[in-house]
Amino acid sequence: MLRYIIKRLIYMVITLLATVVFLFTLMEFVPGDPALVVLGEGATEENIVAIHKELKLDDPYIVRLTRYIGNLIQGDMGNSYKTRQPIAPALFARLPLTMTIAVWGIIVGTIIGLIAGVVSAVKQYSLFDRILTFISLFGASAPSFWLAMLFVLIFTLKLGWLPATGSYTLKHWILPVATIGLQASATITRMTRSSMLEVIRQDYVRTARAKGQTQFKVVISHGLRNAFIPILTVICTRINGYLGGTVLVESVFAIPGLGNYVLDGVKTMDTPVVLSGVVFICFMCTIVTFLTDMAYAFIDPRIKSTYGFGVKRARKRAGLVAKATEGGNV
Amino acid sequence: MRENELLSIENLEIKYILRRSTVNAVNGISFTINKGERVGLVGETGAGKTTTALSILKLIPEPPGKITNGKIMLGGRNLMETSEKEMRKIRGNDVSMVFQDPMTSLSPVMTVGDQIMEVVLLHNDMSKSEAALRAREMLELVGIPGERYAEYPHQFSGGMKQRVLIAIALACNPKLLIADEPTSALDVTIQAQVLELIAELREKFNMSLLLITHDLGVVSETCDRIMIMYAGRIVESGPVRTVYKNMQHPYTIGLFNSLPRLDIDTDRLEPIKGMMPDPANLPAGCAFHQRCPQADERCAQELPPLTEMENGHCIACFHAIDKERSDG
Amino acid sequence: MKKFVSLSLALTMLLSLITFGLAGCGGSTGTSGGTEATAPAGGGETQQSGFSFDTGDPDTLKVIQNFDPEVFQPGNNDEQGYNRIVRQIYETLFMMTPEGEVTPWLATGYTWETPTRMVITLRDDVKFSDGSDFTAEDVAWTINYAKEIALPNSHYNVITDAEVVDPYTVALNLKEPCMTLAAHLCNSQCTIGSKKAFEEGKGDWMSASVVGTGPYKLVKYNPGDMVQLTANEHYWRQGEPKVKNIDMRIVKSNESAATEAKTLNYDIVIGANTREFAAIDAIDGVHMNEHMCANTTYLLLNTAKAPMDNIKVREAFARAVNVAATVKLTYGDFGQPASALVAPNILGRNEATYQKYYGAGHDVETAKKLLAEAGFPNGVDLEITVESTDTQRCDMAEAIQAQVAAAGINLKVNKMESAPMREYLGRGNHQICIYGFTSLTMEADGFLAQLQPGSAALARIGYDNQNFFKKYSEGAATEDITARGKIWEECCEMLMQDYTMIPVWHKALGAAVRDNVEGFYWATDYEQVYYQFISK
Repeated sequence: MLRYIIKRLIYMVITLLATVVFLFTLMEFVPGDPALVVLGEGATEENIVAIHKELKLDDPYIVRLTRYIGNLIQGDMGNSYKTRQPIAPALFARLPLTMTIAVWGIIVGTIIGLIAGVVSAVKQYSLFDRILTFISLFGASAPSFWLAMLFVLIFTLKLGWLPATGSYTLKHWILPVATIGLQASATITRMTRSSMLEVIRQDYVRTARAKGQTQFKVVISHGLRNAFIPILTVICTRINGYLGGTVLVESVFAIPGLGNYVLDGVKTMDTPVVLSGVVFICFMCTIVTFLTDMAYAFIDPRIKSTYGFGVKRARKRAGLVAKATEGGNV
Repeated sequence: MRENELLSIENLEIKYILRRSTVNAVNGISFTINKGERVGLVGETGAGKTTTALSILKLIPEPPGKITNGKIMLGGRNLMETSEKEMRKIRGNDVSMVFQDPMTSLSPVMTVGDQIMEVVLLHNDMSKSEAALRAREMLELVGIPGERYAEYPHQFSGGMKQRVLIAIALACNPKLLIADEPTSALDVTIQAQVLELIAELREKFNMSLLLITHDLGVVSETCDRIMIMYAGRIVESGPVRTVYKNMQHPYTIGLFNSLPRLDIDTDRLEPIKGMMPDPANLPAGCAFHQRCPQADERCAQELPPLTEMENGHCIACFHAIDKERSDG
Repeated sequence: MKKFVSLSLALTMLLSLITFGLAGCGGSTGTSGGTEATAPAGGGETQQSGFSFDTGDPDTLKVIQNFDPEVFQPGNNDEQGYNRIVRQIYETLFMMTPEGEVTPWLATGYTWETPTRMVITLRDDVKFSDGSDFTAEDVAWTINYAKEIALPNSHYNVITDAEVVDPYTVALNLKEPCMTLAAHLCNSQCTIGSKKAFEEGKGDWMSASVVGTGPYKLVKYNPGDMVQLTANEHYWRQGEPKVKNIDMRIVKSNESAATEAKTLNYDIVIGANTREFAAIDAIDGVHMNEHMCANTTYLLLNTAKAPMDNIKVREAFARAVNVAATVKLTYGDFGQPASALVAPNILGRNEATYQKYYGAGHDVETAKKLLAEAGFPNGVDLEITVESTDTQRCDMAEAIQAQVAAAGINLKVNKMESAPMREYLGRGNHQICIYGFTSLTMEADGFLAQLQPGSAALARIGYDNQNFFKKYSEGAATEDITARGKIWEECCEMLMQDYTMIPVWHKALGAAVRDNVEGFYWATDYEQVYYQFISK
């Protein structure tokens, strides 16, 4: 088990390193003089030279790269050109907001998606199935900001139940989470449905029925439980997508999240912000992927046993049963 | 219902209703199984054997399948009129089934012990640990060391998986065990072991056995009676010795003739000419008449009924019936 | 199965704990998210950690605006949105009255010792929000420091250095004469910081060094979300600010701002979508406060790049554009279609001259004739550059594209993001672009100064007329305001005569204000709002 975790951790670090180098190199090709971004329109020649010296912009590529990575390891993500303030605190301040929308959106989406997917798979071709497929298609095609604005129109302006922007109280989170949730549920429903359809035809489902098991237990314990791996993959990809991708929803609800921060950096050509922002998002994504890998190991016994998860626990269980047998005098 | 009878099926008809056509899977079969009796159901692929077996447990997928006619009496109860809730009490408990392909018949995410425990808990009011104990016992009974309780199906070979499935089937001491080609997916040496196991346990628990197979040799070894199905109908049935010694139906004869024999030198095998008719498009009259060397006009138009001739030996063929009448 | 359920429940709870934990830490005590001003305060520890919704609270102004300051340093940013926030904390030496006149503010007056040395006398009763005294040291330090670290403050361009003469007198040495310097110093970007706070706080422009003489001081800043200000108890003007606290939320989407204006949950909303103004005004309880300002939108024509280097082509283009229709389409009735080179009330504005060159208006036939004379009888291909995020200007570009097509001009619309666009225009390879200039000093020089050699904006029109530069310097050195005004008019005429640009729209400012709010007005010199005068 330890081997599995360590192996995954090493992959994570390598991926991260490669990403940083790649992104840094990409940023090298951004045209323009960073000094102009820092100084704005009224820049004079001497100012430009001074800035170049101060920010060490003329050092060779390798030197700057290693300096950046060295700083990263110590937690220093550089300073924004525009505000000359450190980037790391800003990112960490915005992370909880984006994470809240993303995670809760996914949770809502998963709940809806699993239920809808299972029901429509079990009752394939029924009216319920067709309606749900239609809603899925709608949710997947509707642009998120349009959906968000629609919600605001209905719930804020027409009904006055919920606030239009902000993230202060629980009430404020309902609409943003609902928007993302609805969108996410579309993909998850589709994946659940197709995965369940495959699984429900399997022989072991028939065995379960032949045992006299209830339909509900058959569908959930035998069906969904086996169908879950591809669904988990989709959930993980969606979370990763939403880590930087809630930009539009955040815009509509004026929630200062990660995506908007990086986007603003792009608009103002604030290279350190873009670079560090994207590196940060990649870092979060690798963590999410890592956690999903761990989850796979727990859900799929084939992976579990290959890597020796729960071997000790299994042996203990068998041993207990053995003891009980002896005690009970079979 | 006679006292010794366990299962009695009368005029069972099962159809699969598809959009463009209707598949007539089972077309009016009747038979009985007595307590403790071992019955073999033989026929080629598509004859309707599995469908018949599934219908006993009412596991036919409801759309598109449908039992359009007939009665299934189990111990005096008409299963056609039994609610789903009651059926669940019967499945795994009074009647159990072992399926054909053990490789895919076990849930990959549950331990084998838990899968046995599941069926025990469904039909017995026990605590979890008691049920676990019973599961372990069943494992030992089918020849698997009890410590392997907590292992997963992918850690077992095909033969052992089948044993686990047998353990599941027998865990609640059913009165009738239906084994649908339990060894077709296994290799020959394992086949023998599994069949031996089934026989042993059947005797121990004194169950009735309905063994579905296409292997005539296996039937002769393990069964008391044999029923031969063709195109959804029983064409010949009776005590194994009787039928084997004195087969009458041209299909049965053709089947046996197509078996390779050790004592005769042959270059070529003798299959039955033609193919089984499309169940969506059954011909009028005897289903076999298009392939039968003895067929005549009557066969093409009239359906021969399953008629009893000598003791328990029944045949559905005009020629055989006529011959018998003229003889006897 | 149960294990699986409990595992997923545990994971869910863990995730939500983490997210809410992070959010909680970030929200309340300002360690990772939000900074609280730790400047030593003489009492009044009003630490609001949450945002209240009670618009009825008479002690707090609830404001929505669309700029995220990110840092609170005097002069850090030249954008109006930035200074609308930061100007509440720091103040300028001089201020403009609503009528456009320069009045003393932190200063008491100024004299020109020589044409290149301005001596300013300061008030002696002003204290910073930490209780320390405001002196000439702070003024000199602010200006010298801004020049040292090259802050983007073009108003200080003409100053070489600032000198302390005595505790309440400071002298500014200039590169060349600039008679409008006092007006420049009214600009909200020219705010004065505290030298002491800078040194003691080690230049922490998020909290420790954020000490100003202004009516408000910083309480809390949630990046991207909200700025909370509270009254400066040491403020030198009695009875101000009228409302004790301001909660300023940052809402960048103009649609969302418009929606919030309609909900009546905020006292003042700046940055709502102009197309919603009529709808907002129609709602009971809130009204739109609109005012013309000093900014005009122009179509800048690059006289250095072919075929725009041919004056006939430029004139043809001016004829081919229908200014009135464009403005109507883009802005409706908001603002005004151009009626002179600079906005109303700006010194140097001359409607007659405008009429002389642009008065003929939209005339496709003349445009075609002019093009033919220039050597393009079959029309010409041109490109117009516009900022992609400014939807209204993009609409404008597309409207113009349709209009000029009638004259045989095939106009391509080139949309770019602001920073790449700045670069592109700076290199001078463009033909036409849409851009705005603000006459910050309420005189045309505010706009003319940006078209002088050494300024990046000059490349936008590629204009190399030495007479024009000489005239401008002459105007900058003229003390008498009437004479100066005449010179500005002459400069403007040169620009118009050479068809270097086509004025399109005189900008207006709009804010959604609740009916119970009094004292709100737009300071047109820099699109500024002075909250200290507002009461509810």
